Amino acid sequence: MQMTDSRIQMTDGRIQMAVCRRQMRVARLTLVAVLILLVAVEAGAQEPQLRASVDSSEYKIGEWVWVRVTAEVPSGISSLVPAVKDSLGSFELLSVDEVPDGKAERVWNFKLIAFDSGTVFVPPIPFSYTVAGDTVQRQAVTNMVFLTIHGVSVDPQGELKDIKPPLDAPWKFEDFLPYLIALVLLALAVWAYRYYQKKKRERELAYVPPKPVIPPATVALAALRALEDKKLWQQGKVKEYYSEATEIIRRFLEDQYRILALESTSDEIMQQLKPVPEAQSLLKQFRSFLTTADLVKFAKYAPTPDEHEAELRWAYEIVRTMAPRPEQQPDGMEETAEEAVDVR
Amino acid sequence: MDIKTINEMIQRESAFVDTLTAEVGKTIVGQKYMVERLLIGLLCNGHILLEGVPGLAKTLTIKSLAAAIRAKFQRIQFTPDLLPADLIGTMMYNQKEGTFFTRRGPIFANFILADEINRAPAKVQSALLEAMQERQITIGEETFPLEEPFLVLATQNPIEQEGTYPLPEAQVDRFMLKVRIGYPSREEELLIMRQNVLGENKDLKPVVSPKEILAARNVVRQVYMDEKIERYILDIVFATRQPAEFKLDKIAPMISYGASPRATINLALASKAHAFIKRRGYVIPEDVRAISLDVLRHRVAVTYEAEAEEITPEHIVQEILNHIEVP
Repeated sequence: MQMTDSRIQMTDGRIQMAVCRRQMRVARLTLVAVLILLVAVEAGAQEPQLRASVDSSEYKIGEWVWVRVTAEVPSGISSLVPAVKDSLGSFELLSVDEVPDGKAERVWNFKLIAFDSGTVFVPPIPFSYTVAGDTVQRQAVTNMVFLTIHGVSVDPQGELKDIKPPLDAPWKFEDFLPYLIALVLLALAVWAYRYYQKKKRERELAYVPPKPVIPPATVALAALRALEDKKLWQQGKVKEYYSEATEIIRRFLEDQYRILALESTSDEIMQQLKPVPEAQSLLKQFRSFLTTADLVKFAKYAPTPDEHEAELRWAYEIVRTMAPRPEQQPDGMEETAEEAVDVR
Repeated sequence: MDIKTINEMIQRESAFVDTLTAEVGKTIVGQKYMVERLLIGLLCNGHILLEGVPGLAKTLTIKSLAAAIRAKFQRIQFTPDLLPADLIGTMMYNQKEGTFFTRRGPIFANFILADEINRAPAKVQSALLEAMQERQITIGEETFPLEEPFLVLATQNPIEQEGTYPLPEAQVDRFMLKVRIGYPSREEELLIMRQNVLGENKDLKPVVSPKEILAARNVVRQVYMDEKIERYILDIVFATRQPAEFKLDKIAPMISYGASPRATINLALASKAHAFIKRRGYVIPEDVRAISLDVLRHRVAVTYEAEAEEITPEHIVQEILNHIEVP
């Protein structure tokens, strides 16, 4: 009996263990099924849900067809962009704009145009997307949208009509802007020109004529008189005396005949005087005047007092002879050379 | 020394100039300008860079001058494969005696015509220019002084630049004068044609000795130069460096660099030599003006902008001379 009981107890233990094992197996399978289900749900949840719709199902040929694509984007999607080029089936794609709507959904407006009449469909519009943490480009598509495109009704019995000219686009402010700017600039230029003219007139009215130019001969004769009064050679300043005398004559030639006498050597001055009619009778004296001065200035030559006086005499004679006669005197000269000589 | 004594001395010592010019004139028609510049170089112990197209009697002129001075003349044609040893000489081995001996190069002469100097590479140019400066040659361990008078005339062909080695600015500065030779006049060319067609070979007689030239060099230095002339020279040279200070603002951007102090020295010396040739014991502004272009044209460099405008150093120097007041 005891043995039978112990056997019964052993059998019960085994049954309980088998039941336990079965329950554990069922639990394991359930867990695996739940996990598989979760993964499947998760995978399905990663794909964006795209919906395409149109406002109307009937359009005229050449009319814009606005297709609105709404996307429900799960949180795991990192990017979603339309993957279309320039056409969608028999439609030409004119533009794609994403419309910010501030909601969880994303909305795109596709502007399409068709030039074939009949019942047509907008093919599924592809979109590229990537899942966060994965670089693989995936694709989702919208549903198809059926439309009817109506052609232009032609009356074959009616009379032939000419092609209509293109319609003028309505004028906008931007169209006027360049003309407006040009007009403003022109107005500014006219104003600036008038302002400049006005100022110029004012300046002219305020213009003070310059003092009459003193004839070069008068200036030279005055300078020679001043040199004489300085009595340089009498004080032993022979070099200065000759330097000043030649400089007065050179300046006179420069002012009177526009000869570059101050920058020329004695030989060059003689060359430049050759074509001057007033100098023809003086060329010999001129040569002596310059040579004596050169000898004193550059060769330590010590002339006699008579030569000193002769040098100045020649200088006076050069100026008097070469000074223009009153009728040759240019306008604006205050005093004629004759008057200057008379003064002396 | 007073001016009268200097004048008398100049009159006496410069007498050979006319004789020499007349003797050279027997073979050379025209080219008075070139002969005068050669004499200035000779009297100032300076070397000359000649620039002119071929066929202007450059070689004949210097050859004639050498013949009239009883001096040794050598013409060296510079080529790209020329070596310094071809110019100055080298040490050669005597197999019979088992010793080295010195073979002197063509540079050992009184007058050297370095024809087309820019055709030889820099090392040969340097060898020549060093000899010009030092007036001595070292071959091996031995130094040989060059015989006086020693005058180098280098020529450059201005129309061909391909395959040439242009002289660097520092080397060009060593030439006292850069003389640009032009074509002879119509009448001169007629004489040249007749002389050459008839084939008259006139033998030149030596009319001056090298000793007389050396003596004349000392006299040239005695020519009186007044302080006014010295200041005039300084004005010209300084105007090449700081044109704005001389109211020459318009040429200031055209000058890359101005003349060196060597130009001042050479301008003063050449002016004295010019006065000597004109048989004067003192320098006048004409002397300075006459020689300025030859002394300064290779010492003033123009900028790229000026070059693009076809402005040359001659234009710059001429503008300066036209602007600086003559004393």
